[in-house]
Order: sequence, then C-alpha cells, then structure tokens
Amino acid sequence: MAIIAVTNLGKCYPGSPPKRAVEGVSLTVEEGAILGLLGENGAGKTTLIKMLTGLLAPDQGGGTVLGHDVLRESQRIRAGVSLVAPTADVGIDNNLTVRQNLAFWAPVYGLYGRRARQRIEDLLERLKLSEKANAWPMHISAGQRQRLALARSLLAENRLVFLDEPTNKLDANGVRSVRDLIRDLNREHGVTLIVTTHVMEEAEELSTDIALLSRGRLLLHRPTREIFRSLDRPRCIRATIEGPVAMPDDRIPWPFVERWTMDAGSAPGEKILTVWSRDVSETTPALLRDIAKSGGRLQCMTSERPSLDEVFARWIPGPEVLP
Amino acid sequence: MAIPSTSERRWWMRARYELVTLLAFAVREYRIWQSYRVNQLMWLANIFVTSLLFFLMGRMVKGQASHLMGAAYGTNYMSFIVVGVAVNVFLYTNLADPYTRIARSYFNGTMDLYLLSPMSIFTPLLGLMTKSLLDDYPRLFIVGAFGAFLFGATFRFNHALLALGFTVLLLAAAFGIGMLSASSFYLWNIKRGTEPVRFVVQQLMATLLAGTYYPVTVLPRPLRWAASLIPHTYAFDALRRLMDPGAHLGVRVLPLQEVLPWSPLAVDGAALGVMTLILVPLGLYAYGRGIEKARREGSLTRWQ
Amino acid sequence: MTNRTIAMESQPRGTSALVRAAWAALWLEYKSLRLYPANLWLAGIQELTTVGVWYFVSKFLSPVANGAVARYGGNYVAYVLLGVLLNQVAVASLRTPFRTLSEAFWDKRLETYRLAVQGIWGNLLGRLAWQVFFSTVLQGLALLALMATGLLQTHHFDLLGVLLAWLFLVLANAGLGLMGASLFFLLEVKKGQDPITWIYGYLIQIVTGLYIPVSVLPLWLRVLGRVLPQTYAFHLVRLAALTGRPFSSLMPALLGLFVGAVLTMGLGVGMMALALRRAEQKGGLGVVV
Repeated sequence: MAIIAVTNLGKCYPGSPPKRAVEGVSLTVEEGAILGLLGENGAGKTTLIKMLTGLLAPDQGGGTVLGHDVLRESQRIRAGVSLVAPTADVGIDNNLTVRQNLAFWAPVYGLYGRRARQRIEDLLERLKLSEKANAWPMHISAGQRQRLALARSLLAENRLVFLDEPTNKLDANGVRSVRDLIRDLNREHGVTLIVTTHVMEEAEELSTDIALLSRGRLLLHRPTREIFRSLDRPRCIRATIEGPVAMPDDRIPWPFVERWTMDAGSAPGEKILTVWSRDVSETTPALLRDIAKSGGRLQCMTSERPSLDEVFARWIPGPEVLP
Repeated sequence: MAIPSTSERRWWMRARYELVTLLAFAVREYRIWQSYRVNQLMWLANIFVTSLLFFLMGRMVKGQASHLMGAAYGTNYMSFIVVGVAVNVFLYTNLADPYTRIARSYFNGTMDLYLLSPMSIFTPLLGLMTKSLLDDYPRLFIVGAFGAFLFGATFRFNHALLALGFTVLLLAAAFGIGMLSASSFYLWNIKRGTEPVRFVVQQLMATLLAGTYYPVTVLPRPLRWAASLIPHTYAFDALRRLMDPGAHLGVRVLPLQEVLPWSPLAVDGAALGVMTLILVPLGLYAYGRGIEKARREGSLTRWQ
Repeated sequence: MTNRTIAMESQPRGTSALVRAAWAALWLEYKSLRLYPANLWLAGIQELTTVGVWYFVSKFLSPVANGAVARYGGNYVAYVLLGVLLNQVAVASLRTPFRTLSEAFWDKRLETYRLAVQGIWGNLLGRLAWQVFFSTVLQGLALLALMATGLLQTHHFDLLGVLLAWLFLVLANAGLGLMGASLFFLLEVKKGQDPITWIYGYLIQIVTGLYIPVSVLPLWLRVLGRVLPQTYAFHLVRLAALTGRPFSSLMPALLGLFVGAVLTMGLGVGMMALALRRAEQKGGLGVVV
C-alpha cells in the first residue's frame, strides 16, 4: 500500500523572478520502504519534503500522504508525520535537561504518564543518551544533540518519518548509530523513512529505493539494487586475509563477480584478495562465507563506492541535466 | 489517551488534549523561568525605581493633586501612577508577547515542530504565553505593594467586581491586538526589526497618549481623540475612577464620554467591549490566514 | 611563538591603526543603517516619543513644579526637556560598550576581532562613536524642533561651554560603560545588562536632577548625586541655557566634570584591558559549546 502517492507535484516560490523549486514530481512510496532522496544542493529535496509533510502548499499537482490529500488535508498530514531537520538544535531547549526536553514533547505527541516515561527511557537507551539524560544540551556534543533531535521526533511513534541529512555533522560513531537506528526503525517497527542525503554510500547502505532530484525534477526513482547493478563498470572489493586461504582458480566462485586476483600482502602470511563485482551487496556475504570456510582470518575489507556523478552519468541522459 | 484527530467529533477529547498540551507548555515555561532568577531581580528593581521616581515627583504635587488631575481621578497622584503602571504591565504582556513568542519559535526552529504535531495552531502560542502568567502578572501585585506600602498609594475596593470585569475586558482587547501583531509575522512577512502594530499601539500611542503618567486632558484635543482609539485609555480611565481615592464616576474626561449620553464608565465598558468583539476574532483570523499564506509562499519555517 | 602572535607581528600598530579600525567599525554601522533605512525613522520616532512623554509629564506637573526649579529659570518643562535630551546621548554612550562586546561574543566575532591588534578596541571605539554621533544628531534635531515650535525657550548661551559639558559627560559615561563591559569577563556577566550601567541607569533617574530637582530630594539622595557626572552636566547646561549664566562662572563644575571623565575613562580602559587579558588566560574570548 502506498504511504505516499503524489502526481505532478510542483512549487514555485514567489519573488522577482519567481523561483521554480520543484516541478512535475510524481512519486509513490510503499509502506515499509526507506527512500533515499538524493540530489545536489538546490535540487529541491527540502521543498519536496516540506510539501510532503504539509508545511508547504504545492501550487501544482496533488496526491496523498498517509492517505490524506496534500492539498486539502495538510493539518492531518502534519499531525501524522515526524521530521528531523538538518539543524540539530531544532526543538531543543537549552534551559531544560535532555530528559526534560523529551518530557515536554511527550504529551504533545499524545504520550502520558508511565507510557511516556517508559518511551523516553527506551529512546535514551537506544540512542545512547542515558548517561546524558540529566545534562544540559549546551554541555553535550553536536552528535548527541543530533541524536536528541532524533529521539524527540521518534517519540511520536509515527508511521512516516522524514530525515533531512540525519548524519550531517556526526563523527563515524555517530553516523553508525544513526544508521543502525534507521534500520531498526524500519525493520522492527515497520516505519517508512524518507532520508535525504548527499552521501551515496549512505543511500546505498540504507535505502530500499533511491530517488534522484535535479533542478527540481525527479530524474530517477528505482530500487537501490537495480541502480547499482546497472552501473557500467564492476566495483572493486579488497580483502586483507591472514592465514591459509584456498580459493578455486578455475571458475568465478561468487555471484556478480567478473574477475578476481589474489596477491601477497606486505606482511608475511598476508594475502590481498581483490574482487570486481557488479553487485557488492550480493557478492560480499558469499565472499565472507568462503574466507571463513577456508580458515583464513579477515583483517579488513573495503569496497569501492560509486559516486553520485556516476549514477547520474549512467541514468540521466544528456549533459544538460547533470549537476 | 490517543490523540484525537482534527476531525474528531468528540470535541471534548480534542479540548482535553489541547489543555494537557497547554499544561506541558506551562511546566516547561516554569522550568525555564526558574533559570532566570536575575531577571526577576532586575524587574523588581525596575518597578521599585519607577515607583520611587514618581513618588518623588509626587512630592512636588502634594496637596494639589486633585487640582492637577481633575475631579475624575481623585486626590492621590501615587494611586493614579500605580494604576497606570500596573495596567501597562498587564496590557504589555498580552499585546507584545504573541509576536515575540512567534518570532522566537520561528528563529530557533521550533515553529516547524509545533506545526508538525496534532496541536492546534493556537496552542503553542498560548502555551508559550503561559510564561507571562508566571513572569509578568505577579508584577501587578508587586507594583501595587510597592505603591501601597512604600509610597503612600491608597485604593478603594468597593467596586472590586466591576474593576475585575474591566480588567478582563482590557486583557481580551489587548490580546486581540497582540494576535494582530503576531499575525504580521506571517501575513506581512515582518520577521526582523520593529513590528508595526506593536510599535504604533504600544510604544507610540499607549506610551505617549493613553495617560499612564498624566491624564489625557494634558494632551491637545486631536491627540485626545487619537488616544480614544486604543483600549489602554479606557482601561486607565475606568480603573482609576473605580479604585483611586476621591475619584468621581460621573465626571466626563475622554472625548467619547463627552459625545455619548451614557455615564463615563458605561462608555469605557462599551468601548472596551466593542474593541474586544472586533479585535479578538480579527486577530485569531489574521493569524490563521498568516499561517496559510506562509505555507503557500514557503516562509512558514526557517529551515531551507 | 603562537600563530596569533605571528599574525599580529605584521599588523600596523599605534593610534593610527586604532583610528582606522574604529573608522571601519563606524562605517559598518552606517552601512547597516543604510541597508535598513526604516530603522532610522523608527529610532527617530522612538526618541521623539520619549521626549513627548516627558514633555507631557512636565507640562502636567509644571503648575506646581515651576517653583522648584526657580534657580534654573522657573520653567519646569524646559528644565526636564533639556535634561532628557542631554541624557539620551549620555545613555547611548553608557550602554554601547557592553552591548558591543556582548553582541560580538555571542555572534562569535570577538575572537576574530582579537586576531587584529586593534580589533576589539577599534570595534568598541567605532561603535561608541557612531552611537554617540547618531544620538546627538537625533537629540539635536529634537532640540531644534522644540525651539522652533516654542515648546522649549532658551537664553543665548556659550556654545563652546555647552559642547565641552556634552563631551565630558559622554566620556564619563563611556568610561562607566567600559567598566560595566569589563564585567562581561571579570564577573562572567554574559547576558542581560551589567550591574554597573544597570545601577547607574537607575541612579541617573533618581538622584541627578534629571526629572526631579535635586533640591526636592532627601539629603542622602542629594549626597549620592554629588558624585555622579550627570548631576554636574545637567546643572551646567541648564544654568547656561535657561538662565544665560556665563560659563566662566561655571568653571568649577566643568572642571569637576572633566576630572570625573578622566577618572572613569582611565578606570574603564584599565578594567577592560584586564578583562580581555584574563579572558584569554581562561580561554574565554569565544563561545564554547
């Protein structure tokens, strides 16, 4: 069932000259999906999100979000979606502790008494904020503030959550915990998420589908796997292995792999396995299984990520639409 | 308790949700208020100095207050001043607070989040204004206490209920102007600098013309008519007549009182009533229109 | 040698550098006013409103208060208006240092200013000069309007003497303002208003004769008023402008005002330098989040 189904959605901001931010966007998002919304700065991602959350009235097109009409029922849409905007400070009051901040928002989202307290503690725990529950927001890190903003938005227990660049300003650990949380929300609670990002790796890792926006137009909306499989060249996976490794050399042993090589590493007994695959996500599990089976110890593994430009180049015909 | 949808037929469930949310705002504002103790001290000092200043000025007036102020407002200049200052505190809160609160929510980004919730668009505004209940309204009693115990102001309470009625009316009328002022944030996109409604009504007309520190009879006649356009003037007039010692209910002072055949108090009540009836619905309507206009133009939130 | 020290080595120093930095800050203020011309009108209307309120207050009280100001010509309205106009300029000078420092700190500009040899001082001086100039122009226009309409009548007076009183008053208030601003770091008063200018602002209203003739005050308040620069400045200017007294006869008061200005400026600059040094030692010139 489609949780978002909009057709020909468009928005032109008044001014001289007027600025057309989004034009003719038709988008369907199924319940339970994670949509990675990609595009360069000024592509229209935020305008599209604002229209889908009911914060901005479209001046063209129509459709439904959560089953409510985007033109006539914006208040119902606003009441049913959650949003985390890129500024981590949004919704955080510096005069209240981390826990008090969440305690204020709980009744706004219809949570009261024991249920509210339970939910707050649960979110603090899951977002690794329990130790900072009584700290002032001014005394926690930018990453922790971002997680607090996420906790605030998740209090609402809405079915549809919009995250505008959720890992912006976070360090590696922060990025990891936010991505884990997004996956958990989707898998365990069936929440549909719309995640905007500039980072292709993030979109590939999290999204079930990817939508590409450029200059206000939706250029592409397909399943993530299909997009990455279709790229013109295979991508390189490099594994550093220690100990005995026995690999068959008479055939291609892993799915979507075009060729592979095994070289000696810099340390004694160390080998470097290099694999060129057309679908890294399919190849990697099989590769790991075989390494473990042959008795080798995996020291590290890296895979080459395609850039946003590559995806554009593959999917978007003509140079005029490139960023 | 589940959040009732906006189309919920059981209006009382919806009302209960909005009230509980208002309470959450009140608790939050109370917590924030607690962290600004120095501000309370500064306000106390401000009220004390204003009272002392006019007390010292009143020493020059001693014995001739009635001659200066006219028969309508009694014999005690300090009582005259205390009513003026107290009413100003009241009115300023209701009139100036809505715009300030909306501007602050917009610039710190919380307005987006308030709108992305089941709350009515008015609940966050009223909720944020609960700080004024904690912060400003008690000052009314402080003004009275300073005036009465330190500077010799005296009051009559034999018309207390009527005075309370006028107070309610003036608060409502001022809130209506406050909502108009708040709606200018979105309706006319006045997001920085001086907000014109508040500036003209409070900072210009109320300060200069309404008669906080002197009766409007000091003003030239055209300015007295200009003073008739704001609720402050009628509130000062009515409350001074009702509460100041030696004040007369029948002496006509304001231009409208001279024109209309009713008693001065009836004119004050009617003027405040009409202003309330016009300004409150107009203010609420303008605010709703402002939100819708901003939603169309993309200026509802600061997040870009 | 730190990066800051190296960067500052190559910068111009001395008075001319300070003046250039101050001029840049002043120019910025002017530009921002050009960008928002409505602010000019609003500031003008606000000034006129203040003058208007005190005009009506003094007019209301004048039948009984004229006698109390017989020494200054017996016109209470003129007495109050002249004090209010002069005080508006002085208060602009009093409040600017703390406001400048506080805004620069919270806008995260203070550390950048510190990277220039005269950055912070130049900014303080430039904004101070602009605020005093702007306020003087507004009050001057209000004064001319009041005189033209006959609401304020003055005698022929010694302009140089009045200007000297104005200058010393502005300097004395700037000194007090700098003392107050130094508490931003010395006492960590980083929001609202500093205690020195806050208390001084109240004292001006009550004990200096701004609205209430000093002769009406209780003795202990009169004694307090004798140590404040405003008391001398109001006294001097009113006597000169409203009674036509020659300034030569007012020299002792002018000298007192001059000494007050030198003392407060010296103290203000010293305290501010100490505050900046201490803030750097504690690493407190920038907002730490």
